[in-house]
Amino acid sequence: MTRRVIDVNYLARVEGEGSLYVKLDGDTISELEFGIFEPPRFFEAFLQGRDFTEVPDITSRICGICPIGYQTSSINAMEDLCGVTVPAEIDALRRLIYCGEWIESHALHVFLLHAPDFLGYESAIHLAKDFPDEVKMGLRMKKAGNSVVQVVGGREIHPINMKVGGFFRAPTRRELRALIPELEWGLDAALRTVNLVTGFTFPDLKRDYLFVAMRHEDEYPMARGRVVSSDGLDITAHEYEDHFQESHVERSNALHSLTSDGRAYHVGPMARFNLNADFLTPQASAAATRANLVPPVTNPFQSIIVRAVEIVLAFEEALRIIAEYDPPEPPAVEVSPAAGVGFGVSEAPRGLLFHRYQIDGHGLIEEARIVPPTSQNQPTIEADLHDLITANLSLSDEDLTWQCEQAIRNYDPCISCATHFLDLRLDRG
Amino acid sequence: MGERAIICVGNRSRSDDGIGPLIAEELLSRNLDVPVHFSNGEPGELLDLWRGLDRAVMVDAVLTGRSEPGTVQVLRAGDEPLPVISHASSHGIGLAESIELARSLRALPADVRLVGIEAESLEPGSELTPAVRAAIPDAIEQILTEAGDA
Repeated sequence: MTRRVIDVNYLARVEGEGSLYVKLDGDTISELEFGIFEPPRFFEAFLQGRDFTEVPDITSRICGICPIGYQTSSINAMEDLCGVTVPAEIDALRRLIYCGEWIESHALHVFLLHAPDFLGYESAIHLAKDFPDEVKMGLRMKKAGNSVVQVVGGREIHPINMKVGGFFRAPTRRELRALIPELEWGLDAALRTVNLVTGFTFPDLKRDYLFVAMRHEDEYPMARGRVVSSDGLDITAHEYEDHFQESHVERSNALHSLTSDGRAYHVGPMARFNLNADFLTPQASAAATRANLVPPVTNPFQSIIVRAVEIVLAFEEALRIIAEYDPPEPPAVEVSPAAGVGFGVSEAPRGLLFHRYQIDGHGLIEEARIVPPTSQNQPTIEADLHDLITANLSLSDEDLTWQCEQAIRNYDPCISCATHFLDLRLDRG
Repeated sequence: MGERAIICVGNRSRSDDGIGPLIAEELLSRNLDVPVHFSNGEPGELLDLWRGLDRAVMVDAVLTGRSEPGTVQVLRAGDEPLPVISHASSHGIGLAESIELARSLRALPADVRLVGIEAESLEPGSELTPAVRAAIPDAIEQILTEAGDA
């Protein structure tokens, strides 16, 4: 029996570390481990004892690319606990800054991280030599997203303007209107991006996923809504932990999430799209139709098209919100702490982000729990890899490794950068 | 003399990586003839700052592990690919990669000089380590030389 081992070790980078180990006995996968060995960052522990108002600024530090997600889920949890609802103007501003985050995160992933896989380039640097206009377009879109985060959030990275109850300062109409020309350019560029990625060749993989995403009665989900699934679940954030559980797996420092009956599930753009396609904005919906994207999309490689459609949606929504903008006055509502437990969710670029906090009567945090999208997707990523490898055993180790990396990047895990710079070691038994 | 600029890159929350912004502040207070910018290193922003320049003097903390902390060295990026020596910022796009990306896009100034200050620590923290702090005058002298000579 032939035994082959695909072992992808990882070259150190700051933001995350991951690895893939596959052992084949003949045509059977005997071991498959997608590991994340990024050191745990203990945010949940060091939030203990901090004031409830500090949580958006602390959790925004978890990730440099999706701070708005962390801020929003934590704010939602605190407002839930303290019985606060915010006026529509604050909701609109939250959605606007979230649009900025989706644009910057998705544009980075589509052009710099994922497109090279589809077009056969080792990295964006190599891709840029042959496709300079496309890469420039991606970078400019990303920058347009950053500008939204900067203007609404006070600065681009780890923004500082969001707080429990609203914002420290509401941007003026004039400040927001200044963004319009670049956002209009961005909308057009995003539509071209959908056309571009639709023309890629997609490895043949279709899986029967359990999709989980938020849903809101008025809009494509970002900062608010319930949690729904493709098998009919429809719950509030309060009930999340009754249905989804995390457990520690030895090979990974990230926790693995499963449903309470032990199933892997899929969060992120594809889940959002499949469960909310009826809420796409007009141009995003038309772009999805042109791309032949009909829910349920079940080929994970097509997530790159879904991301492009969501960029269109985010530009459209940003432009709409700015056109209708009425600065909230005051920019935040007063929030008094209440002892108890609060739950919050939001749709970070990579998918559902759950937070739970227990605070005492003085507003000090007693316990915190954060479930990021990447840990929820880990079992699904392994299942994808299992099917992909089984169906492609005839490929060379090199080609198979390439497809595996590409498949991992379908989820834009927070180790994307890491997996773009991989050392491959082959060990044939 | 063609268009020149000094562009300082870094992150104040990552110990010695804060030397870029600190030097930018110091240089801005001197009202130099050459424009001084601070950038968080976002590649789109760097492309904008580089547009139209003949020479860019980049300032950043580097972690080669081959020099003593505080060592100031100058690398010319105009000739051949830089080793990936820069810190990785959000999602791993460091200055060296941004420079190489711009080179691929034919958007890199003809003359790019990286004044790198060897870091001791890039861990979370708002203070420079003593060796790196002590290197600031040397680094500034080197930056002004690179920005000013023919």
